[in-house]
Amino acid sequence: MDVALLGLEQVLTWQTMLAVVLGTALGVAVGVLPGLGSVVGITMVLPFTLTMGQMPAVAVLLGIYCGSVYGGSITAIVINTPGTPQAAATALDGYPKAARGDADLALGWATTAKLLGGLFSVLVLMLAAPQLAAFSLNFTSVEYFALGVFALICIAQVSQGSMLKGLLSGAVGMFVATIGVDPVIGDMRFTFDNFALSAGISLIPAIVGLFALSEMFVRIAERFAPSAKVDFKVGFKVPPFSAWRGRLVLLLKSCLIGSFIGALPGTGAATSAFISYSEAKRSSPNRARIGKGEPDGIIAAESANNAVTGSALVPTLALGIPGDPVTAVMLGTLIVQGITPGPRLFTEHLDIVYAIFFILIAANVAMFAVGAVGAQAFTRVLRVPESLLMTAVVVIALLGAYGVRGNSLDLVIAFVAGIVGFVMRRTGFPIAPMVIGMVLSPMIENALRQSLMLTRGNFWAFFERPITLTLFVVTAAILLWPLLRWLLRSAKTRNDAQGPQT
Amino acid sequence: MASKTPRLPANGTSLVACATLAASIFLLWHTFDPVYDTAYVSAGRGPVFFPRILLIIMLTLSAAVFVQSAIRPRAPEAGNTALTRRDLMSVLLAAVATGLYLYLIYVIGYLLASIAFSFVLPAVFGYRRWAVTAVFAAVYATATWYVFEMVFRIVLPKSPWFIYF
Repeated sequence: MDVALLGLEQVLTWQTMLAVVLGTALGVAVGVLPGLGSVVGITMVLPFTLTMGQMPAVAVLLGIYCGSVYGGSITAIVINTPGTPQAAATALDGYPKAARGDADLALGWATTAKLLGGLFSVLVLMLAAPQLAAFSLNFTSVEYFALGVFALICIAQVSQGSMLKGLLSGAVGMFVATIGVDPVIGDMRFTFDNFALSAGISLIPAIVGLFALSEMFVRIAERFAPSAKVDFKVGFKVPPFSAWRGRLVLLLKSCLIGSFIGALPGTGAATSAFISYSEAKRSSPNRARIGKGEPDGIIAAESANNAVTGSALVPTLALGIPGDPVTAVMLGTLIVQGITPGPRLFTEHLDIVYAIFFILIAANVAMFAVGAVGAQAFTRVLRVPESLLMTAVVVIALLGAYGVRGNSLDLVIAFVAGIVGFVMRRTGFPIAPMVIGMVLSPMIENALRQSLMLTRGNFWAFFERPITLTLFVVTAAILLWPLLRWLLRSAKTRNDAQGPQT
Repeated sequence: MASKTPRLPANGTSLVACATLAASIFLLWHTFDPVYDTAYVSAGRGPVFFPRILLIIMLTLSAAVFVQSAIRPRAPEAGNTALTRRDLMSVLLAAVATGLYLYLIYVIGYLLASIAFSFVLPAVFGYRRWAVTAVFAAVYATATWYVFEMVFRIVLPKSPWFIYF
C-alpha cells in the first residue's frame, strides 16, 4: 500500500498531470490524421521526452498511446475515414449513426465505451503484470530464448502480407541489431572498419525512418489527401445510463476480448476490435441493427480496441518483451529514461510500476475529457494542408532521431530506414516484425549463448525444461500451421473433385 | 492508349528477395573473415555465431520468397496501385531533398537547413502557396530550434557564420 501511495505521489505533480493532458491531446490530434498512428505520434515527442523527468516522459508517451487510438475513432465516426486501423471497425456503425444526425451521440458512445475499456485494461495490467513478473523470476536464459523466438514468430505470423515476408522482415531486423559490439566477447561485428558503426544501429532512428519518413514517401507517391469535408457540427453527448441497460454484458465481453488479444504479441487493437465486433454481430440482442448505426457495434469495437492499451503493456513491463511497434518504441524510450522493464522492475522499483498504472488511468480519463471538450476542434486538424503537416512531422521526427545520441550516423540510419520502409510498404513486406526483431535480437542472442554455456553446448537440453518445451511446440505449430492448412485444403479440393465422379 | 506506368522487369517482391539474398550471401561469406577468428577460440560460439544463424535463416527465407513470387501469378502487392513515372520522380525528389537536408544540417547548421527543407518539401508535395510555405518554414524551423536549443538545451549543429545558430 505504501508503495502504491509512493507511486501516486509521483504522478500527482503538475508536470506529470500536464504531460498526461498534453500527451493525450496530441495523441488525439495525431490519431485523427489518417496514416499517422501511435508510432509516429510517439516518435514525434521523443526529443521532448529526453529532457523531461521520468514520470512526465512516461505520461506523455502513455497519453499519446491512448489519445491516438481515440483520435482515429473521431474521424471514423464523423467522416467515415478511420484515422488509425484500430478504428476501422468503429466506422461500420459509428458513421451510419452520424449520418443520421446523431454524430454527438455516436461520439458519446464511443468515448464512454473507450474509457470503460481502457480502465478495464488497466485493471488487467494491475492484476496480470505482477503475477507474470513473479512467475518469470523462475525463468532462466533458456526460457527467455524460447519466449523471444515465440514472440517474434507470432508477430511475423500475424503481420499483414505473407508469413514468409514477415519472417524475413523479422530476421533482417534481428541481424541489423547484431551490428556493432558483440555483447558477450566485446568484439566488433559487421562494422567494416567504420568507427561510427561500432555503437550499433540504434532503434529510435530506425523507427523514425521506417515509420515517419516512409510515411512521407508513401504519401508523396500516392498523393494521398483527405478529401472528406468536415464542415458540419460535431458535438458530444454522453448516452444516458438507462441506455446501457442490456449492453453491459456486451461491454464486459468486448473488454475481455480486447484485454486477451492485447496481451498476445503481434495482434493489437485492430484485430481485437474486429473480433469483438464480429462477436457482437453474432450474439448481441440488437444484432439485426448492427451495421446500421447500432450502439452495440460502437461499444464492441471501441471498448475492445482500448482494452488493448493496458494489456499490451503486460508483457512489455513484466518481461521486457514488446508486443507491437508502439510498445517497442515505448520500451526503448523507457530504457532511455532509466526504466528497464522486466521482472526486476517489479521487485526493485514497484513504485514506478504503480505510477505507470496511475498514469494510464489518468490518460484514459484525460482522453474522455479531451473528447468531450474538443471533438469538434480535432477534426479541424484535417484542414491543415497535408504537405505542411508531413513536413512538420518529418522535421520533428528527425530531430528525435538525432537527439537520442547526438550522433550524425543516426540521421543517416533514419534516412536509409526511410527508404527501406518505403520499399517494404510498396512491396508488401510488413515493418512491425523488423522493429520487434531489432528489439528482441540482443535478448535472444544473449539468452542463446548463455544457455549454451549452461548446457555445455547441448541444444537438446533446451527441450528438457517444460516451459521451454511448451513454447517451442507452440512456435512450431504456428510455423507449420499454414503448411498444414494448405495440405488440408488441397485434400478437400481433391475429395470434392473426386466426389461427383464416383 | 497504353498506360504510361513504368513496369519493372520483375515484381518488387522478387527484387527485394534478390537484394536480401545477395546481402545474406555476402555477409555470410564475410563472417569467415580472419578478423572473426576468435569464433574458433570460443568453440564456434564467438561474435559471428548468432549472426551466422540469422544469415542462414535470411538466405533461406529470401530464396523462399523469391521462389514464391516467381511461381505465383503477379498479385497486387499489399493492395498498392502502380506508381506513375511522376509519382516515382516525386519520391526521388523527396529522397534527394531529405538526404541533402541531413547533409546540410552539418554544413550550414540545423536552423538554416531546416528553414530550407521546410520550404522545399511542401513544394515537392505539390503545395504552391509560396507565401504560406515561406512563413511556415521560417516560423516552424525557428520554433523547433528555439525550443530544443534554448529551452531543452540540446546542442544542435551550428552554421559556420553565426554564433548562436
